[in-house]
Amino acid sequence: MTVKIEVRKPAEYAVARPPIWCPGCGDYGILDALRRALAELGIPNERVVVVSGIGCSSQLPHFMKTYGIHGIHGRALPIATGVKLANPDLTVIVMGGDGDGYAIGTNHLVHAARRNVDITYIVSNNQVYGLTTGQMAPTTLKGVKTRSTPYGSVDDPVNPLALAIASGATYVARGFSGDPAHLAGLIKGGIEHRGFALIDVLSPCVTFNRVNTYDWFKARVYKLEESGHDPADLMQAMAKALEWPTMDPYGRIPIGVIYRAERPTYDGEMSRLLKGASPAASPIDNALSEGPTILKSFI
Amino acid sequence: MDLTIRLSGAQGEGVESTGRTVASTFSRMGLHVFTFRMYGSIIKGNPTMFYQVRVSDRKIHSHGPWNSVDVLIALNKNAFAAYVDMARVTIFDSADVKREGRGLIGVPLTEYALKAGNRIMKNTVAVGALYALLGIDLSVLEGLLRREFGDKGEKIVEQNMAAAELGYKHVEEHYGGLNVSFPRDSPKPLISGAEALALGALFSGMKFYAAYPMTPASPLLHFLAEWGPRYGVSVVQAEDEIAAINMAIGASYAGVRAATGTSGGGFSLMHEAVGLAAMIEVPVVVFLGQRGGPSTGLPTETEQADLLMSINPSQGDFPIVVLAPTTIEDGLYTVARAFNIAEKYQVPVMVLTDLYFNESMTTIGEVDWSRFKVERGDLVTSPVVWEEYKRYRLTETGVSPRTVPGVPGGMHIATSDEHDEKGDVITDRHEPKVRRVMMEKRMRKLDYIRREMEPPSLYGSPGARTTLVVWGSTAMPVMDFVDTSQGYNALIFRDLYPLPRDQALKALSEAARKIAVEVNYTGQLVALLRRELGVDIGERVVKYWGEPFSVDELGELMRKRVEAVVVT
Repeated sequence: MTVKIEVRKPAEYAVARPPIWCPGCGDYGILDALRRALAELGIPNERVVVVSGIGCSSQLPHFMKTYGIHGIHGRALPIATGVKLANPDLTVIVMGGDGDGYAIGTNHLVHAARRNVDITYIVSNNQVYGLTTGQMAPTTLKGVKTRSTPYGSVDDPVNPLALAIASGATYVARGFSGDPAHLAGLIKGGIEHRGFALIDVLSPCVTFNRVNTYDWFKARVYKLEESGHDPADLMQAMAKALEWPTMDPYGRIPIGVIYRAERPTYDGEMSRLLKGASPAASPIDNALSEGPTILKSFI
Repeated sequence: MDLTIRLSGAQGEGVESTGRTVASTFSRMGLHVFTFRMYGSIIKGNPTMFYQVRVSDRKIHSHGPWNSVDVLIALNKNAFAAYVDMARVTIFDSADVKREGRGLIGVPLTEYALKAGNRIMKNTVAVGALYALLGIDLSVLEGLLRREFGDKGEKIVEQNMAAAELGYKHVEEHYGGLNVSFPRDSPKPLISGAEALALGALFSGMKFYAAYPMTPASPLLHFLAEWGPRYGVSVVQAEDEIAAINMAIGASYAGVRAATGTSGGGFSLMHEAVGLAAMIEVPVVVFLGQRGGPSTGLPTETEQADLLMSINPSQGDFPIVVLAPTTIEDGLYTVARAFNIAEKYQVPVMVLTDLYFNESMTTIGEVDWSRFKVERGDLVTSPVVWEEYKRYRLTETGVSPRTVPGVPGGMHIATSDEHDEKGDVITDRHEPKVRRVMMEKRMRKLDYIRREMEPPSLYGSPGARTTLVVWGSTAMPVMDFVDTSQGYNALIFRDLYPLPRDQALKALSEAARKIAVEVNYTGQLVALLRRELGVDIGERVVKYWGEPFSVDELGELMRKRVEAVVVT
């Protein structure tokens, strides 16, 4: 028996309007990879919801022919959690920058990860605040000069991948927007994965970050799948997550799937509590029709 | 017949659950009941917290008097000392206090409790004593104890019954009863304000609720966490209030009725997201239960000082609706309206209550189920043509057809940036024309919402010399005051924003002498009426020390005020 798979093209997820990013921005690579991943999976446009926060990369939903919310700074994950819980049949993608996800929204990253809600979170990590014209980001390497750190940053950068693993994320990967084909594979894997997936993407800002450029990354990245890494091994995964920038901010940078595990999802557990019902599919008048009976329990 | 019973003891010693047992006694007898609790922000301690139960054979709206009660049950000597002078009759532990006299009923509560099996049951002994005092058959209590302790085993129920009988017999033998009789009617449901809101939400088809615990909104979360999943409602305890409201907005975008609930501090954190909901035109209902502010303020005490904040949260101009239920029963129906208005106009709707409202319990009459008609507005569930569909299409009412994820062709991006009819961001360039029409589209909705707003209701007889102007839960004691006083009526505002201007002006102009009564410092309704209607309510009676108004206190305040004016 042959199964007919509908072949879709990345362009089917595109709108006529071109992105408004600076020429050469790493976010083009992410957009390209996301469309590719969705096309390969053949998910109908109306079943995809792309949620973002605020920042250059959070403009991404506007270039997708899907549903989406371009929300407020740092709150994309809770919005997406609400979407997914209301209608678990939807494919929910979250897009944001490092400021959105690792500074103002860090709290939500930790909790979305521990809940293991089935959404795919792509973070465009350019190590600088772009839309606000070049301030320090939570991922800016120590010593780097930005408009808000004219004497060099005295803050150490966060390690989002280690944070995500420690928080309970079940799919943790790093991609490079300079390699959209590889990144598309990571995003596809994240969407297919049942649970919370974080894909941190090294995405150079060609306007405000003159340190972490395409060439800077090209000289440092190496692929985990070619290095015998076992993403199912939690301790190995943690070691790989800590490799950069924690152990050596100027050392080699692993890209690929760092950690992968199976664990019940939040939406799955919620569905169990709801005895298989979903909020979106549940009759709107089911409580009302039992109203008199419900009130009897207050006598 | 109108009796007030105050139970007082230390927090953590079951004062509240005992109070509920007393309240349920009367509601099961078909009487009208109202309860109120005064407590502190401490888990165990505070020796004089109290739970007040008022019972009547006619409809009542509040907890009754503040400075006098018919029966005091003092569960320790501090409680005795604090309230004995205001009570006609006091039941107390004769081991605590050695005093005799008129109205003093010493019962060896602890001794009897130990005799029945456990000193923890001294509250039950006191309830037994109360039953004897009021001449109520203990069989009523048995049913309640079985409901409360049934899952702990028959032995616990039997021990408690034995404890109650000891208290009952003691009073029967040594004191006799009060001269009071209770007409019987069919049992009435007894619900708290928070339960009324939560039930209203369930009956309105709410399918998603996210919240972060905060007094006095937490009871909604507790109730919905238990009941929601039976009706397909996802209930989430979020990591903070910011997450809670954003989750609700996400769920609503995905097509289900969604809400969050909090108090002032939590709502302060939600402001930005309220603006988001208004900007992306996604309906959301926010239950705001006020407590004393500012900051942590009075965490367990009531206030009405968030009215102006609820009308003006978040930056910018945007449409928002504020409804403040005036009685617990009204809470049921106001929530139904809140969800309908939120969906019909795709706006955030505030349901504004307070600690007094949320935590008080009352018996309710027959529910009018026809008032729960679900109106989802311009919700599009069948496929549309993507090339033609405009999520934010300019319309006369400002409301545009709304698709939800899953509807083919209805794809759009809801953005917090200013956008055009299609939903595309326009902020990468200066687009004053688009900005103007989109702003006007959103704000236009208020004109249509205003037509649905109900004017203030007049309670009492028209033409009274003095009209008390109130909003929200202060209506409850004020209605009782109007019922028992001469020369007063009340103008009660529930629909606070947008105000139905003409009708509100007319109602205010028909009142002779107007006195605003509010539980806040500045008189926020007065400020709102001045701002919206240009009407100045010259006289104000306010309090801001953590108590609701009470019937007796209102009488005192009004008498002084009237006399004072007569003198000048």
